Amino acid sequence: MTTLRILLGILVLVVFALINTVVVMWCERKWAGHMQSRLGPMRTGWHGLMQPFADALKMLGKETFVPDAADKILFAIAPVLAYTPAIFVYCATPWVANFAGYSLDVGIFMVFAIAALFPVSIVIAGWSSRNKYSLLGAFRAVAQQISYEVPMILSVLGVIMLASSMRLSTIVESQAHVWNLVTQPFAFLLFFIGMLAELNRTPFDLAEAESELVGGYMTEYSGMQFAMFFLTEYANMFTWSLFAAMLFLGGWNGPGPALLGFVYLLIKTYAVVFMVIWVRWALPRLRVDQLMAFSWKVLIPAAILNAFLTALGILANVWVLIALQLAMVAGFVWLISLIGVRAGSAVRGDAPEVSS
Amino acid sequence: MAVDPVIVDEESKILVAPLQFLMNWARGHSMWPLTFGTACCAIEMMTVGSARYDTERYGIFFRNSPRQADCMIIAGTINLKIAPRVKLLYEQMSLPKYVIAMGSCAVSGGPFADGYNVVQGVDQIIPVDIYVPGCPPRPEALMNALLMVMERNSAGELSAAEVFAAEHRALGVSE
Amino acid sequence: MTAPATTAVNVFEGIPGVFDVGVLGSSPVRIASTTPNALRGVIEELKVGRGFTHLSLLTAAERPAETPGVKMVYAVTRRQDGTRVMLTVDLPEDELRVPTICGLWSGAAPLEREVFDLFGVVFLGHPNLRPIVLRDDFPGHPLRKAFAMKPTGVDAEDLAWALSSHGDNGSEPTPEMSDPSLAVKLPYPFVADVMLADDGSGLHAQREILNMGPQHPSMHGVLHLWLALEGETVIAGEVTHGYLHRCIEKLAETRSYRAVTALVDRADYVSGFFTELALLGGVEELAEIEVTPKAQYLRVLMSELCRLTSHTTWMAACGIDVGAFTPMLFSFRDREAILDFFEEITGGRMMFNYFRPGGVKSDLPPGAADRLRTYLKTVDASIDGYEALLTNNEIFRNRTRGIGVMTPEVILDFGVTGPMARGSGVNVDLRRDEPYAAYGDFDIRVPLGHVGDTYDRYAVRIAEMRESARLALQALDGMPEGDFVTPGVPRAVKPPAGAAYHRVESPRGELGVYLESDGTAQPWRMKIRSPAFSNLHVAPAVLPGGRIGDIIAIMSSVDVVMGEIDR
Repeated sequence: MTTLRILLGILVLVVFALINTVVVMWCERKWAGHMQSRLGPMRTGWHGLMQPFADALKMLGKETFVPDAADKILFAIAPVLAYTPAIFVYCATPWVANFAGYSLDVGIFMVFAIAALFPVSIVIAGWSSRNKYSLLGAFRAVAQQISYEVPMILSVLGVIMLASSMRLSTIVESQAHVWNLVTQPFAFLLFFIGMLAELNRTPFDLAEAESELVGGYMTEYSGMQFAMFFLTEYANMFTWSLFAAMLFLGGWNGPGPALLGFVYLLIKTYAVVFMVIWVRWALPRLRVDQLMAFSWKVLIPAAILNAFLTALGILANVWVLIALQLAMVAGFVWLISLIGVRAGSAVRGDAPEVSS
Repeated sequence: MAVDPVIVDEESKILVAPLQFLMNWARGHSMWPLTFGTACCAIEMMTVGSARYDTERYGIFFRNSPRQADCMIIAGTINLKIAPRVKLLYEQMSLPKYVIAMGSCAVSGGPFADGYNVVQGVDQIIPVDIYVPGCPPRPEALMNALLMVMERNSAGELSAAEVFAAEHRALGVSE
Repeated sequence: MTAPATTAVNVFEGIPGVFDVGVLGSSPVRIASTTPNALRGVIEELKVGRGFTHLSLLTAAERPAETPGVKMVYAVTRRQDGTRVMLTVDLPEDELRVPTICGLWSGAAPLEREVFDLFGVVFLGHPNLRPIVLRDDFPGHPLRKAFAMKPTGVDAEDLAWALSSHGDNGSEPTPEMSDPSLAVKLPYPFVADVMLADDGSGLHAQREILNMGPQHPSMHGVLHLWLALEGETVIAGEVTHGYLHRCIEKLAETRSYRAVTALVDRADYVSGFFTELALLGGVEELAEIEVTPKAQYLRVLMSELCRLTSHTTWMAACGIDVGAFTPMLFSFRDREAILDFFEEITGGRMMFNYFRPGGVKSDLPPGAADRLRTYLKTVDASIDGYEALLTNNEIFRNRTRGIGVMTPEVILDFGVTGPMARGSGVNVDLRRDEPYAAYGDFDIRVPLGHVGDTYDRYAVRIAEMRESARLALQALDGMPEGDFVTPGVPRAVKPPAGAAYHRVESPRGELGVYLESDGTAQPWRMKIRSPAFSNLHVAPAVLPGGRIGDIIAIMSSVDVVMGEIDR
């Protein structure tokens, strides 16, 4: 009986994960289209709803190349290893109050630990392709992801302190009255930026972009194996947005019956997904050394500062906490603008002088 | 690099039929072209992906890596210097693959056909499925070509690549 | 700043080895001849002693059948007063050798390689004399009249041979030129030298070669960069092109002037009007055909609209190169409106064939002027929209500020013109300095950058877009009445024998067409002075020291159009 329940649960979770991956793919294509004053997929199903299915099925039917010199076993494992963590984390995720596969004391910790498997799969993919440029691209992507996991984890420290627990359901319940977005806006900002880098999204998508010139880790893959990497990106997007919603946006809390909490959670998740897509299509990308410098020199000190000041704020009272957080946000934004605009201008100002 | 075209024999048709229907539907609604723009037609190819013409409505999504692309759009003149690269890229694509020769230069050499350096049509190098005349063809013409390729793909017709490979095997010629 | 005729007459005075001093047709260009041995001295005196710091043209032409051989043509400009000078050197058939001038201008090096490639002239002292537009193993020198094109073009045998190898694996420089004592030292390292020098000593990353192109996702067409990298940093870079060499210059010799006008649209395919204008400027000068005032204004109007479309296309590519995908969609959407006007007025979206000797093909359709006016008034707001996404964005700033700095010395050394030059503060614009068409009546404001980095080049082009809209509005408002083409110009124009070199300010810089006529209906020699060619070859001097990400940003600011580079 219990075994059956477990198997059923796994099936439901996997199907749920796949459906959401596909929905996120559709959202990306449509929202990107609308932001760019065009429509995006329209013909495949109503307003393109079936487009991701068509893409996935078509990829299934493509010929699969395996390079001669490639390490066959590792080459085959890499895509599977990439997709697995995205689903694996769901087993400990609480969807509504008191409903989780397995509610762990160290829920958050486990999530990050599992998500850290993804860089491993990238290295395996790059290595097994036996392509110098794939390997270099894989190294870069891994360096990026590892660097940005640190500020993400540190930024969550404040949330853990506020909830006094690492258990995910406790964290969400602690937001019943006030979302962590209000008491930890700076941490949310850091978490969001770290999330973008984890997902290899612009402005941190050098693994996909320059590596199109140099050769990314998934260049040698085709057919279904490529489809798995492709789906992984969107699955991760959903996963991380889900955690952002749970950690900062109050999870399933909302007016009405408890079961409606699931709907609220999904709405909040897709709000974060929208922000991720929006940022991708609006911003240019950073160069690799700028990216690494940003993580190690700006985000990590900021995250440590956040943890420190949050602790002070908890010791004081909630208004001090919010004030400190808002001050940090303002300071961060000012710092960025300083790096970007003013430090970059030439002596006589920016705009070209016009002579006649 | 010769690969067998997909040949469905009578017995397996019964099992494959419903899956084949799905596959045909998918192929008719998702086409990922590889951009190989050399010259002026490349600008019109960029235009066809832009907001006014928007090929993404049909599920056409431009890719940059040959391994992930279904269709290669040769947009522009092919000359003796770039010809080997065209062949290399074509060979790197995975089946099923189609080729659209866009513009007069790719169809037949175009206004430069009598030049000393210009290949008279990309079909001298690789098998072509759809020819799009014009100098440059309007974006609507290229869109029509892409839709024709999708129709062919979904009807399960053998692509020029597969026909070529089959003919070569029949002649006993190795590539 | 037009050339005052009185002072220019004495421009060659006192230089030994110069003879046959005169004027090029009816233009203000002073022309003279010299010998191969005296060439170096003459040009050095002109550049260093008399201030002719800009190398405008370096090409060759076949000499007439009576005196077989090749004639080298050099054109230099003194920017202070706009004096233009052309030098020719006659080379006999059995001695096609001339000293290189790439010690004076590094930008002469690729131009000489092109002449070597297409004519077979050997440049003594050139450090890198290898083919540039043709395959390394291409037999023959195509622009010689003795090289007859087969009427059926390339046949199956040629193609089979071409497919059997890559043809751009880097041939060895011509043996005579490899004598190190004679070779000129260029101000940038070569990839091969840099790789050889890597002896593994010292604590630095291993040097690697990276090939970028010719097929790559950034929209620069078929450009091939060959880079030597140490980790992330570029140590040396070389540019290989020729993947779009379509024999335009040779084909022009077999076509009538009307057909050539239609053909040259395809050279600089993003902005075809400018090549047409440069070509027809030369034809009209040789055949002494007047252009009606209305047609001059129409030419200005179409040129400025074309500049707008070219810069929007550039901006799309620039955005995508740094990772901003959305500006492309916006700029192409707005560009479509201008393409609709082009289609209405000329019949084509990209290939216009609209200018004729003496004027243009047809007048503006009824109502087009008003609709164009309405549209042009919205351009500023559209550009504000693009700027909102890029100009003040911190990430874009970080990707472009301080990247790829080109000092005015580098600009002059390589013969760079156009927005790239103006981005470095070099105040040159042919519309204002040597007014052609109706530009003399216009108030032209020229934006200049300060530092010469990628951001400045970007900002200059954005400002030029605004200026173009303004100028187009001025053209519409000031358009005179009258004929759109001079009546009586024959269909098959046969300009009398002579040469002309007419230049215009294209979106990439100084676009010139050097035209030689032998009195028949086909040109004897048509050379397109491609601004992007000179601009592109500044890359080996600018790329070293940058990182891989910088290469892409710098190349996007160069705004290459391979069609005019390779022709």
